[in-house]
Amino acid sequence: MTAPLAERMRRSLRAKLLVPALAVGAAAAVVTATALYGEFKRHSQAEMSRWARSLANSVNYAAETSDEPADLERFVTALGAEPAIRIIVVAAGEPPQVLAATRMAWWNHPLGELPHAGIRRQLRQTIREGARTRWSDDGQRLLAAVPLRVHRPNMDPGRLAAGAVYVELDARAELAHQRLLALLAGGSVGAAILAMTALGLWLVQSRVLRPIGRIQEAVECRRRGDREAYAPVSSGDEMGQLAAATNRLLDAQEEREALFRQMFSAHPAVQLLLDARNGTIVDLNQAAEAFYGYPRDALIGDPISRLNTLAPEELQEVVDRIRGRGRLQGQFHHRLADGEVREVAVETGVVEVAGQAYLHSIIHDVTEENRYRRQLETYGHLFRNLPVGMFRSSTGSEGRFLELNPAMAELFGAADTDELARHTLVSLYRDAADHDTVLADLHAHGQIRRREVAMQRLDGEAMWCSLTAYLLTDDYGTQFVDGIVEDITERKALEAELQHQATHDLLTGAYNRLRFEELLEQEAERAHRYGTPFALIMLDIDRFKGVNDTYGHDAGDAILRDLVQFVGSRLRGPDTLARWGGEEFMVLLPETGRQGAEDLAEQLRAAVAGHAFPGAGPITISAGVAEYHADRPLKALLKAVDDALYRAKERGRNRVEARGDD
Amino acid sequence: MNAPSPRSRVAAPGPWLAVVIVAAAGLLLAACPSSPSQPLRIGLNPWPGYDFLYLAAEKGWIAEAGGHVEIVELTSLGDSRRAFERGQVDAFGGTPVELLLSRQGSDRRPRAFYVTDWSEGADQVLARPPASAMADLRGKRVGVEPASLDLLVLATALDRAGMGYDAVQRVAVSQAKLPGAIASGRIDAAVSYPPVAQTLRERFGMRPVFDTADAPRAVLDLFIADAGALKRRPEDFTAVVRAFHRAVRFARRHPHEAYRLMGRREGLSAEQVRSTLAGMHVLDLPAQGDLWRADGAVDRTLRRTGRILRDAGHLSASPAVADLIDPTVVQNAGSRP
Repeated sequence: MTAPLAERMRRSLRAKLLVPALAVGAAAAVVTATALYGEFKRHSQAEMSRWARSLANSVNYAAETSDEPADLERFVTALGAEPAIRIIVVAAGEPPQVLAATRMAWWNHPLGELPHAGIRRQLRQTIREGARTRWSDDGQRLLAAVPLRVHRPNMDPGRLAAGAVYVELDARAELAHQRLLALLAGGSVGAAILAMTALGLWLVQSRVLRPIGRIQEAVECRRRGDREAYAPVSSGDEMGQLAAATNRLLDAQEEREALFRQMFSAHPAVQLLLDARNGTIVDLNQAAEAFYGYPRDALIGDPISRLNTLAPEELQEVVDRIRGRGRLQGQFHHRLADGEVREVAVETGVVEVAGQAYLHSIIHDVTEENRYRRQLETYGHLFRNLPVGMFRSSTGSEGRFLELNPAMAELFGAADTDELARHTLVSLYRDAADHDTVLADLHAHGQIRRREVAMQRLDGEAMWCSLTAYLLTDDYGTQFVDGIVEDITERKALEAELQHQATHDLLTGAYNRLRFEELLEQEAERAHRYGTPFALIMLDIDRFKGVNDTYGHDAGDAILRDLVQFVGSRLRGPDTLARWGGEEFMVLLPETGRQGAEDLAEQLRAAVAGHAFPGAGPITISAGVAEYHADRPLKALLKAVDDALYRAKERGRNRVEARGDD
Repeated sequence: MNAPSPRSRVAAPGPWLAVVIVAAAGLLLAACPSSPSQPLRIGLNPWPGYDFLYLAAEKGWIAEAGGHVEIVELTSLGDSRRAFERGQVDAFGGTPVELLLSRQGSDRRPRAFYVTDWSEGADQVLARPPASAMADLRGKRVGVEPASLDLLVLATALDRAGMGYDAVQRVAVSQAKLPGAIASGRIDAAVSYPPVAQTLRERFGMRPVFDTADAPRAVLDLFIADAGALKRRPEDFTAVVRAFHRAVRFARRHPHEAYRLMGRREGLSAEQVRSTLAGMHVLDLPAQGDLWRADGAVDRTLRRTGRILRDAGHLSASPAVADLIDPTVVQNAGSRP
């Protein structure tokens, strides 16, 4: 019985109000009754005392006025018939004798023979000391005695005897009556409080609890899905306002619920709702249906292991961990309905509804992203580790570095990429104009491939580089240049060497015949185009066979080298010297006519003849001179100069012969 | 708008309130003083026939029989009747005269429920010498306690002597005052009974000219109670009757002890009590049966007394005997010893 009462106390406002009201009512009743009883009792006791003395005095009066003892006796017994009067005793005389009493057996007996010591004592004290009134020890009897002087008819006439009247009243009925009155008063107060409580409860019931009940009912109906349920707004008071506010709140909540439902079901992100205890799928949205390829009903109620490739026990650990932390971001492999496994990034948070915890997961398919990321990682690796300088720069005239790799820094002698990045691209060109050219070409063609450019390291050392670059434009329209730079200095040197070897005579360093013929053709072209003259001088060391034979081939080679050095130093800038073969040399003289060529040839012959070549003594040369004519082929020119040389040989050597166009 | 029904959820406050009200009422009722705590009060004047109940009370037999009874001592039958009429006592020892007078003179409903004794000489008409017979009293002043059994005794005496009711002068003197009235010469004769009769004989040499021995069962002594009290407290009345019966039986076996105790109240010696009792026939329970029959002693005496009182002008009409008796107490006490 106790538990339901306590439960009602906890749940019921009515019980909470009723019980204190009852307690107050009961307490008020008890306090009122107690207080009133105390007051009534005092009053009653005082009244009874007065009554007792009045009775005693009445007996006194009867004793004084009685002619016969019987009158007094009768008066006393008649008086004693009153239920509240227990005992009356009239005693007088010396020694005192009972003159009358409500107990006839005591009549005319000496006071000392009375069986009640208390009555004896009180009568004697009263006779001696005057009126006495007291209450019995149990508080239920009033014992009153007043002195009297009585004329006893059967005594000596006229003699007054001292005596006393004892009256004992039974106060129980009176006290019970007063108690009843007090209780009735207390009960009335309690009843009044209860009545007010009942009224208050009725008001609370009808004005508060019942409207609250209707509001509660409406909320319950809404919760069960009845969207038409509204709390009745039956009044304009606070309860009515509460009902209206509740309705507004319900509507707002429903809108919010619809919004959240929409956010869940219609949102393009794949979302799952799991039971936080065991990972059972509770709900999934349309995007999830589409992504996984399962209809919604096919997944609800299934464990998440249906989708997640982790083992069930591992999944349980994950679920427990999320529940502990409140959220988790992680990547998993989810298997689709068609068996394909996709990499997914899952962001899960714990949501709690009505005491039930759920895991709300948002799933992103990151399969492609991961693939791309791995590619990027590969590219990054390449970028960082390939021994080829790579950079990204702005398209400005200075070429500010945006990105560059360690190989690039190393290429230009920087300690690291940061150091190089503090320089500009243009500063790396030996000729800043090359940078402008490159930029112009890039803007014109979008790219340049393996352009050889002259650059320099940070310490100023020159280097040749091969530059491949692209002009790129990002999504925001910003243009930049991606480029690859290779150090080709060595290759360039090798190429130059090869070139030199291809065009020069290995022994003397003069142009070889092949190169000379190219130059000759070029000159002929120019002469043909612009009408400018040019001439050839063909030199041959006289009797060179004899030198070789006399001084050896080394000496002959030395003479050849010295001759080239000697002749070359005496030519004009545009003039070109080439070894034609053996000890024959050819000199191309642009913009020079036959005479000029003859003069130069003569000066050369004279100089050689006057020069002492170490190791072989004086040597002489013979020279043939011919001028080019635009209307004749080059072969004719060559034949002419060769003929002229032949004639000089023929005519005695150490001389110059010219061959005109005739 | 779909207004949900509130009834199922919000219950009426009825049960709670009912419990509270009942509890409060119970509290108040429990506090009321209950009547059984008050003793049944029986007024008794000095009369040996009633003294057996005094004896029973002194011995504690009433309480043993389950009764809660207080004896209220009064000096005369008239005082007993008045105490009854005033509601000071629930029952009293009296005669058919008191029964009829209290029936008429108050709003109480007196019922006789036990016959303690009938007078067999105890009630006397005493006369001062030289008068020696009823006839000698013609025209004399006879002290009679007004509205008392004395009227019945005097009427019986006059009837037996063949005299009319008005053959003597009736002087109203209470029993207690008879000695003074004799001493002062205010009366010549008196209707009396012990112990006053004793006094009159001893102090004034008065002699009986009639006693009830001459008219057995004519003068009955009764226990009379209010009908309401009889109905409310049957156990107490049964206890009274049984205790009385026990005292009568006890006195027969131990007369000296019984009479000593009974005499103490009357201021008489055991011998005096014994001699007084010689003038009456005290009745125990078995003796009650015949008396309560229709046309039995009780019936006859009540009807006769009614006539006398009516003739004497004390009663306006004789009530039906059935309204004056309640034999159930005797029946209950006898049937369940």
